[in-house]
Amino acid sequence: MEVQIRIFKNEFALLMITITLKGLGKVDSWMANIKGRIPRLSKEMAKEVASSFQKSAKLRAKKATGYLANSIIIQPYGKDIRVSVNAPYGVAQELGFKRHLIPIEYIFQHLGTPGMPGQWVNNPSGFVWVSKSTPFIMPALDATTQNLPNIARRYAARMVKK
Amino acid sequence: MTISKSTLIENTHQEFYTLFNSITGFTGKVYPAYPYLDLDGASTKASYPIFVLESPDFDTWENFTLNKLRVEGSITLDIYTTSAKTCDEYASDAFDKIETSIKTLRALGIEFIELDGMTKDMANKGKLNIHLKTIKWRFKFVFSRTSLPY
Repeated sequence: MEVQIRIFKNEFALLMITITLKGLGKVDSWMANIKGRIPRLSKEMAKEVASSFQKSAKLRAKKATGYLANSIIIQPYGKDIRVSVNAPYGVAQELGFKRHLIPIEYIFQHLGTPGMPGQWVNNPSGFVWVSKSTPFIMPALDATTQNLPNIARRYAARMVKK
Repeated sequence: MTISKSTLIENTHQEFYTLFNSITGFTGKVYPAYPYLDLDGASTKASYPIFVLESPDFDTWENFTLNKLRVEGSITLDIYTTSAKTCDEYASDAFDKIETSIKTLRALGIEFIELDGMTKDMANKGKLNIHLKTIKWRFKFVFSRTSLPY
C-alpha cells in the first residue's frame, strides 16, 4: 500500500493538502485471502497441537502391555479436535487411587486382554498391593504448553503472509 | 522411484524414508510409527535412538497454472534418544540431509521444501530420560490437472 501526500496552493492562495491512498485493492485482496486462510490454518494448528500433546502423553504413559499408550487417540469433535484416553484404567493411572489389594489373577487377565475389565476370581491364588499411579496427561499438557507459543507464532506468520 | 499424482502419499513417504535411512546412525531405526520396544521393565538404552517418520499430510489443492494444480504437504520426523546432545546431533543431521537433497527431491517433483518448525520434549521412562524432538518440513508438489471436455 502507498500513501501519497500532495501540498499545493490553490487559485485563492490557500494551502491544500491532498492525501491519496494507493493499492487499497491489494489490501482488499490480501484481506480476502486471509479470511479464507484463517479457518484452514486454525484447524491445521489445532491438529498439530493435538498431535504434539498425544506424542507427549504416549511418551509418558506407563507401558506394561502398551494398551494405555495405544488408547490415546485424536478424533474430531464437532469443529474441534479431541484427544481421548480410551483405556478404562487411564483415569486411575492419571489421578491416582487408594493403595489396595488385588488378586494376582487380575494381573494375568490384564496382560492377556488389557482392554477388558477384570473378571471376578472366586479362589484367588494370592494378592498383590497396587499403589502406584503415574500421571501422564498433566505433564504432557505442561510440555505442550511450552511448545504452544512456537507453534502459534509459526501459524500466525503463515496466516498473515502475503 | 517417481512420485506422481497416483502414488503421491506412499512414494513421498518412501523417498523421505530412503533419505533419512541413509544417514549414519539412522539406518534401520526409522519406523513409520512408534515401535513399542521399550515396554517398561524391558527398556534399555540399546533400543534408542528411534526415528519415527510419519505419513505425509497434504493440504488443499490450489491452482498453479491453467493446466497444473499445486498441493502443499508436510512431513514430520520424531527423534527419540536417551541424551539431549545426541538428539540435537541427529536433528542437525536430518536438517543437513534434507537441505543437501533439495536437487534430488526437486527432480522427483517435491519443490519449495522448507523447515516449518521444531518442538521438543523430555520424559522419564524407568531409569532412562527420553528426549524427543519433532521436526516438520513443508513442501509443494505440482501435478497436471485432468482436463474436462468443455
